[in-house]
Amino acid sequence: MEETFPTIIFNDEVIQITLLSFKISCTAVALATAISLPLGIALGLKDFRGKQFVLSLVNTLMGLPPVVVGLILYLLLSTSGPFGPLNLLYTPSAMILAQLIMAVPIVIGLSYSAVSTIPEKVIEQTHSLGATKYQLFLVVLKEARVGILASVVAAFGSAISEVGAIMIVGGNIRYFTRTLTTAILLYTSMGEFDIALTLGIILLITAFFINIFLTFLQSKQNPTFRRKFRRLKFGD
Amino acid sequence: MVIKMIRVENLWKSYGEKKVLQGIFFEAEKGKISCIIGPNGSGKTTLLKILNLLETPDKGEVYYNNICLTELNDNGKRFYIKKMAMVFQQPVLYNSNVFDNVAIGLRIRGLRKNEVTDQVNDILKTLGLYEYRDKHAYTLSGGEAQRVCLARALVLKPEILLLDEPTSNLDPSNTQIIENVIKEYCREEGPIVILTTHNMFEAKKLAEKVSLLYNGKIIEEGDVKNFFERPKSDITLKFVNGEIIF
Ligand SMILES: Nc1ncnc2c1ncn2[C@@H]1O[C@H](COP(=O)(O)OP(=O)(O)OP(=O)(O)O)[C@@H](O)[C@H]1O
Ligand SMILES: [Mg+2]
Repeated sequence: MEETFPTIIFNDEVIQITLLSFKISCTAVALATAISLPLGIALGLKDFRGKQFVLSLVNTLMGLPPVVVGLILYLLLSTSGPFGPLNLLYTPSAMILAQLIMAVPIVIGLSYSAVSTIPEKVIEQTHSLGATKYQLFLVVLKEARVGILASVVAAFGSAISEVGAIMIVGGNIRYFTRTLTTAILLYTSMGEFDIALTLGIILLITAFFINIFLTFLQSKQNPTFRRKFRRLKFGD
Repeated sequence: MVIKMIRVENLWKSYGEKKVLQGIFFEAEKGKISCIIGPNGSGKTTLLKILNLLETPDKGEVYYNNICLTELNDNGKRFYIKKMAMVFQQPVLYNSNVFDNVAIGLRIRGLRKNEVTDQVNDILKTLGLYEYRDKHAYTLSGGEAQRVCLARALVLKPEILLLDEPTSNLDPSNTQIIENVIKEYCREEGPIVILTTHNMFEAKKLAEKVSLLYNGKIIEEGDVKNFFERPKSDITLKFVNGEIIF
């Protein structure tokens, strides 16, 4: 057979895979954000004994190897495991769970660092204005909004490009649990380069937009940087 | 009738080994500007933060109209914190525009949007900041920033106004604006005003009562005329004569 360079194809399967990937990662990151943001902010505001230990733990978990997460989750969800009766293995729910587990420490860790850059005097001023704990939380959320949004976007970026964990617990079932990354893995090994390359390009474009957005967020962080950024974009 | 006043009794505060306040007795009355004067590190900021219930003293109490504030629970303290406003020594700015920076206290108090807009606009005009209302606070000059912080406090119409060296580092024209606004506010609303400074001239210009804080103790206290013209203690005398320069 004649060797040809792979071409980009667009069919129902490509669209279905792309949408499923986004659905799974968006859900996982949304849930992770709801859980992690209060924790990250509390960690940034409160001093308590063992805080250093908690921070080291979060940092370690931020680099959790996906295949290990997949393996542990597999053992927990498989028929003989403690959560076997829930019948979650090889479902999108299991994949959401896997990505959620990996996103939680990322959002906690990065939103914690965003909050800890808020000067102490801003917190003090807010207390001095008579803010309740909840109002302080909202003020902090607003002050660190750029860094917090960046933490969510970064978590999404790593979720959508992750492969090991969702492969193990999702099983890469066509039209059901097959996502961008697991499909690329499979179709490449099968020699179906057209669809593999198409999906790869979609993933790349996604990553590219995520990075553009992150850079934009950084430029919003302070007004002087924003001027430099504008000059960079529209200058010579 | 009870005279409205804030009073501290036998206040002690240390940070680690460092004894900052060592048995402070102090009171400030409604409708008067009371000035705490003292050198760097004498504990002025610490005292104001304790009055604002932001720091807890190691020993001693804060009373407002004979209510002991230091023994209240968090909700009780917050109730009284909302009757006060403090302008910090270093300007504190939120990551937003001038309007939002001034509005934050009113929003915390849950005022309606149009009330917030009206009151903030008024105070911005008073302080010559109206044209900056949409400017990002981080791009302000030091003098403008200090005025924004004063606006944030005054818009709350506090019963107790705490000002921590409000005009240090400012040029004469900014100093003038701020001093005039403070005097005007005091005349109109008759609050308790406590102001710290290390500047003798500012104390003379603004204060009706002066207290000298030195090494964590109030060395001398009196109305402004007596304090500067007939000082009782040696340290005050040296200070008034310019031998100790703060
Ligand atoms: N949070 C803190 N931790 C440790 N030490 C502190 C703290 N706050 C204040 N101090 C110390 O307490 C002393 C009094 O500080 P304070 O800020 O009250 O002085 P001040 O009279 O306001 O001085 P300045 O005129 O320089 O503003 C200083 O020696 C300072 O180093
Ligand atoms: Mg001070």
